[in-house]
Amino acid sequence: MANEGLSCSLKATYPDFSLQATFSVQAGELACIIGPSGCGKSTSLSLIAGLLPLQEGSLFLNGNDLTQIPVHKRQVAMVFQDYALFPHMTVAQNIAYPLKIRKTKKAKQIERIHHLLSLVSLQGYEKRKSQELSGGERQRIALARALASQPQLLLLDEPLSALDAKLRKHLREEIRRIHDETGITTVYVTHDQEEALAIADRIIVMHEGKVMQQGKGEDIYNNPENLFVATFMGEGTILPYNVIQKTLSTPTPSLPYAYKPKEGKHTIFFRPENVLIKEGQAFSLVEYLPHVQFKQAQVINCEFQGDHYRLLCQWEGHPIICHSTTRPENKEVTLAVRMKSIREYVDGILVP
Amino acid sequence: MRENSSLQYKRFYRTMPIPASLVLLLLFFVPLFFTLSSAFITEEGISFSRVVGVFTDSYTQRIMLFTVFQATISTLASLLVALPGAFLIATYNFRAKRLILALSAIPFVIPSILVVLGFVIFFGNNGFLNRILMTLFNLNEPPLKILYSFPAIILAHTFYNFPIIMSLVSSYWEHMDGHCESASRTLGATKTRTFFSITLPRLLPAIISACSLVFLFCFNSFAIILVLGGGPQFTTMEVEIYRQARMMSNPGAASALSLFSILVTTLLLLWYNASQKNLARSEIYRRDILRSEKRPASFVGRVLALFYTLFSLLFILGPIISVVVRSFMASPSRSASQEFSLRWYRQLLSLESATGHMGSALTALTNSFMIALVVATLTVPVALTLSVAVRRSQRKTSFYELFGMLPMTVSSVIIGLGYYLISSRFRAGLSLHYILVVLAHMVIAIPFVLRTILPEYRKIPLSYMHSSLTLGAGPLRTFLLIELPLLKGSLFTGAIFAFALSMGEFNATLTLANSSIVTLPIVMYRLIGSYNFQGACALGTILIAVSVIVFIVSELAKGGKYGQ
Amino acid sequence: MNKHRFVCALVAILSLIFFPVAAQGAKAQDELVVYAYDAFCGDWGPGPTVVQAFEKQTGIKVNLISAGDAVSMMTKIISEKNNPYADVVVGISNEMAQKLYDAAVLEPYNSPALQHIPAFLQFDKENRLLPFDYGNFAFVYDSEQLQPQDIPTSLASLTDAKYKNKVILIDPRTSSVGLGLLLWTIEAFGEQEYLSWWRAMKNNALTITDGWSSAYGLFTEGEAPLVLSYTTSPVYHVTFENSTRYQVVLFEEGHSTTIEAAGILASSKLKSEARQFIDFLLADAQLDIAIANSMYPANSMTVLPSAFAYAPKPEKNLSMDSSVLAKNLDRWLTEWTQVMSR
Repeated sequence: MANEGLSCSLKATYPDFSLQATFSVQAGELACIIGPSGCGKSTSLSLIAGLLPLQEGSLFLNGNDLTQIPVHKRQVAMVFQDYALFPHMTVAQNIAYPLKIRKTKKAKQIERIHHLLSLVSLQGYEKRKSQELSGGERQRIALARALASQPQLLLLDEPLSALDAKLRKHLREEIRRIHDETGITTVYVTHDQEEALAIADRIIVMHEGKVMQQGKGEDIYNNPENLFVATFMGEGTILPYNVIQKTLSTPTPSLPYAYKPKEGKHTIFFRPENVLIKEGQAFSLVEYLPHVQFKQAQVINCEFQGDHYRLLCQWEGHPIICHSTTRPENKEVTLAVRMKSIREYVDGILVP
Repeated sequence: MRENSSLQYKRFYRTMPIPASLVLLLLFFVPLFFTLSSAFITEEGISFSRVVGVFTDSYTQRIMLFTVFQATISTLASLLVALPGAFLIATYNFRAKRLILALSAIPFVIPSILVVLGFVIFFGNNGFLNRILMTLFNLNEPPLKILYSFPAIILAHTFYNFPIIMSLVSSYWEHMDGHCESASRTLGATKTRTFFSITLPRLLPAIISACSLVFLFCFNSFAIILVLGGGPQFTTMEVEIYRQARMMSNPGAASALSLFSILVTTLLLLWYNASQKNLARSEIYRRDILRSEKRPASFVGRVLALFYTLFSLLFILGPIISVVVRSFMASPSRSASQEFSLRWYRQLLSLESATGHMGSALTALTNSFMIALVVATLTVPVALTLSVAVRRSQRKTSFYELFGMLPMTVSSVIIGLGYYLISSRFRAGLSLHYILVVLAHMVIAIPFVLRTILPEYRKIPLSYMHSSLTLGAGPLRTFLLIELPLLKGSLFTGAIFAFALSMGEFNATLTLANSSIVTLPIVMYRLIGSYNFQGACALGTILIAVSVIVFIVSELAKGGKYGQ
Repeated sequence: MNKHRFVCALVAILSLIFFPVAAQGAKAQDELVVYAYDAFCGDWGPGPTVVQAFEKQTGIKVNLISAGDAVSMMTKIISEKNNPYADVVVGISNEMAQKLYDAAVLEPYNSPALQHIPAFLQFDKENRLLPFDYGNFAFVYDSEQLQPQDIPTSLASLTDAKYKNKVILIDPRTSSVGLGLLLWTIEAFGEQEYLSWWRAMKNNALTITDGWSSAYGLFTEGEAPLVLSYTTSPVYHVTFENSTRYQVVLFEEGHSTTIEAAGILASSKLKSEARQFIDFLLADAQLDIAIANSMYPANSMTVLPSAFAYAPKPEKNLSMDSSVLAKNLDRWLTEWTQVMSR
């Protein structure tokens, strides 16, 4: 139990699912809770904020037990999916709302509002009404309002999901920048893994009410602890373990690979960007390192993604996804993956 | 279970419904209990025999069936007439729209005897319509002998009620986006098919909720059925209850009979409740969606719209206008022809010496006004606090919502009986009678104000409240700063409704007030009871005028604030 | 806007609290409490005039309280049996009296004024209820819609085919006037025959309304030329409208009489004052009552204004004993409903 930051063990049962999530966020971190719909991420936020009662478990923020404190005293601010800007107030009044509650003096209020609006790059918006704002602007005002309450913890519930792709990229940068400037511990819920990987200091992957893995983005992406995290956080190919027998190629016997099949469903997994494609004869460096080779794979589909091509190949009935910088000319290719890039899973759990 | 933090909120939300509960308990449930319990108290002590006897009697069963039957037919007829109107209002923008909507609530606040009279003056064998037709086409016999028959009952109910369906459904329809319909058309369905397969089902929550309200009114209908029906072959439960309570002084039997009404209407309320929940949930409609505001495109469309508007204006307003016109006519003697005259109004304002009751008309007007003002001012906060309790309720059907709506279901004869049994237990001066009258009016108004506030309340996303909480505002502050301002419009409309209802309330007032408290409807009834129908029409016109003004104001306020 | 609403609510609540402060709750010691029906009490009924005159003459303070209509009044008195408040009750009619007798709440009083009241009006031999006015039910016709030769002369003649849809009747289950007609037919034709009259009238009735107000309203709107009302109805039109258009015709069978009476409650502590009030009611107040109520004064010594010439007095006054009525009313109403609802 860290003395600083958020530390929680959330246990709750609802008619359609049950939640059993334990995770912690260090002070000043931007943590992302990510998972498919219905995994319990928004519920977790509501529990942390106190909008839902916590039946069992613990919830500590900076050393304080939050479960004894009512919502409006927790100093946990939340930005909702629909932004919840009060329609009968102007932007300035919205932001002033938490300031008034804290009995901030009028002059100070104006100063704070001005400061916050600059922080979110919306200077001069004081007199506008929420109906006049675009989605992105509303989101930022909601953020500014939440920050005005000087919370110890900031919760963001899928703040960008209602916006278009370009805006999302821009705004997530903004959110990261604002976070860095204010230094507030933030928990951010999203279902977009690209977003999570891009801005989070820590990612918490949830599925069906449980935390599947938590840690830095690189760790989660490169060393997913289970197949769910592996497939959720990015694309990849899953193959039965025994294909290694057929495809293993160890050029130098001094770097052996021990083939050890295990009990249970033993599978391997690798990312498409780690797949090398050979149309001609020679691979490069990989030829000299332990790798698996899939000969005579058929290219079923080829999508242009701008900076690369995404190929869907078929090898002996197994689909393999890979990336290529050029459009393949032949229908038949040979694919290779380094053993270093392959992860093993037994019954979905990573084999260390 | 760690509920300490939510306990604080529970306390707040628990205290909210207390004022409303007090009023309702005192002035509704306690009297109701008194009268109902007499259904179970016979000479032998407490028994079910009377109740069982009532329900197994074939005559009573026939009446129950007829009551349900006529209410169903009336509701269906009202729906049929209302739907085209709802479509017109929802789709097109035309000048008379606001007016029609404003006027549609008027029949509800006017004493039923005026409505009946108005109907007769307009549709009767010697009424305006027939006389106009006879002069136009040079006929000897009145061509439209519609009154005093079963169709007349349906007709009266329809014209009384279809505006309610029309305004409820059209306001819902207005805010429904047309995407599903567009999708249906692109899939190859014709306009008609789209309407029946797509639009109608989507409208169902609004239709159900409006129809259940109308059914309730037709179910409890009394004067209309007896007078316009033409005879006792059309007897409803209310008549039987009346007979037992008034003629036989047999509250026990009356109560036993009223159990049936209460049962049916409670079931209906439950259904209406559930449909209201669906209303808020099924379609997330926002105020900023408004269907096309255009004029009807085709010539046929325009003609239809015109016809429908004239037709509905004629029939909504016909009976009411007849009363108004009648009040401006007088004749030096009964035999001379009627001519325009302000005599009744002069008497009203004590400018001319009055006969009989007219002298007290001015006092009555002031009294009614003051009482209505107090009622409106008090009912709105009380109903609002009840709404808060309803909104927070976790269960599908909120107990408090039912609690608040029940007064609409029980016949005034039963409640009147109850008031009687209670008021005989204690004495009081004039002031207490005023208080009782105000409270009784509040009880009657609460369901209507609740019905106005709740849909608007349900539209406020929970995230607003949650947001306010997380920003540091406690539940009371959240309520005052966030929920209250957003409910402004509905509170105002509710107040208007309560005001109008109080102005026109008769039954409860008569029972509770002693004779020194006179209100407008009471004087009106007394005028009618002493041969002075035209004076009554004059008072009725004033009542109508007040209602019209008040409703138009509310429609204007609605339109202005929320920028359509 | 919130503040405004708060202030309004505050004002309303304060005024509500203020009211009880100004209330006089307890019964004044020597005040005579009189219950009367609604129409009697309002400042258009005879009540205030009578009370004023009585107070002036005797110096006794009177508190006139409206107790609803006759039926409600009776219910109220009976339900207050253990907690009595009133001293005098005014306006119980002969048909409904049985219930009061059964409840044994009244005290007999042989008022000296009774000597001027005709015997047929004194329906209570024990003088618990003393009559102060009466009226006869009758059919009023519209002289502009009916030819003189078409004016009916008897109840029986109303069933003639020429009156199809020309008669407005009133439902006995919901109206005391309607009930009066039902009793009239029973009194005139007897229990065996009265239903055949009603059966025949089904064709001739334009409608059977819920109450006198609607019925008379329809009548004056010209929907039909005949309506059930009182013999004194034309008096109003003559006095206040200068019109003789609406007339009453006397029927051969005679007319049913409704007699209104007053009585002293046995629980009263002001018996002497109560008696004085009854005496006053039966003598000095008779003219005021007759004019305001549009009914005949019980006291035959009363001199009536000329308009009353238009209210013909029937030769035959029919009436029914209230005990007979109490025993059979439910059955009659049920029989009637069964016949009329087919």
